[in-house]
Amino acid sequence: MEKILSEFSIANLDLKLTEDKLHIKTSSSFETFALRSINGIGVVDLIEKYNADLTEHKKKRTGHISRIILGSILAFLGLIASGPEAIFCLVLGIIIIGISIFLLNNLSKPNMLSSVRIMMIGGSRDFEFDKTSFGSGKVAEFVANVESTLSAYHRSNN
Amino acid sequence: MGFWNTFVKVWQVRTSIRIQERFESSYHLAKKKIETENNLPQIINELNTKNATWEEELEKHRKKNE
Repeated sequence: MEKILSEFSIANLDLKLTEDKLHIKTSSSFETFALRSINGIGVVDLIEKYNADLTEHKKKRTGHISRIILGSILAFLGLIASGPEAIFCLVLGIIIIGISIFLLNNLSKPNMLSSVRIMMIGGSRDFEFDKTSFGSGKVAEFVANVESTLSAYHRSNN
Repeated sequence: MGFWNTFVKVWQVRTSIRIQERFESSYHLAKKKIETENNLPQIINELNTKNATWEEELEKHRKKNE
């Protein structure tokens, strides 16, 4: 029976470290790495992805605000004009304003994620998590444990 | 159309496509650069927020393992 040195579970990521292996389970995969094949472990912030999400968020926000302005202009024209078309403009303007405000309020702010990077011979594997989520302290503890286990492992096997 | 005329016309079309692609690529790169520069304050703010407690936690556990 392998001795478990460290293990924990946060949203979509389960990590378990034994004397010889590192087990990683996500919502879509379950992988086991031999410690002898691991060269290093690190944590990287996914800045590129966050930048792209932020740009997308700003574009959507600008779109909604433009529609609110358009709806306001239509509603204003409906107010100052007369006739059945005026009522149509007013109603359409109010609907556009209402829908755009609803969508603008429901627009979620982008969140920068990080990933635990396992560096091996031939490549590396990344596993995403959120540094400010509940349980991220356990990820820090786990990374520190793997760091000390790796150095102890390679020292004892050299 | 003779061989030479065909050759010249094909070369013209290929060159104009290459030039157009270069313009488009420069435009997209410049646009991406401006967007990144506009996003920089928010990125730095997010990095500081995320890493404030993370660094302390990691150091705390590293010292514990020493």
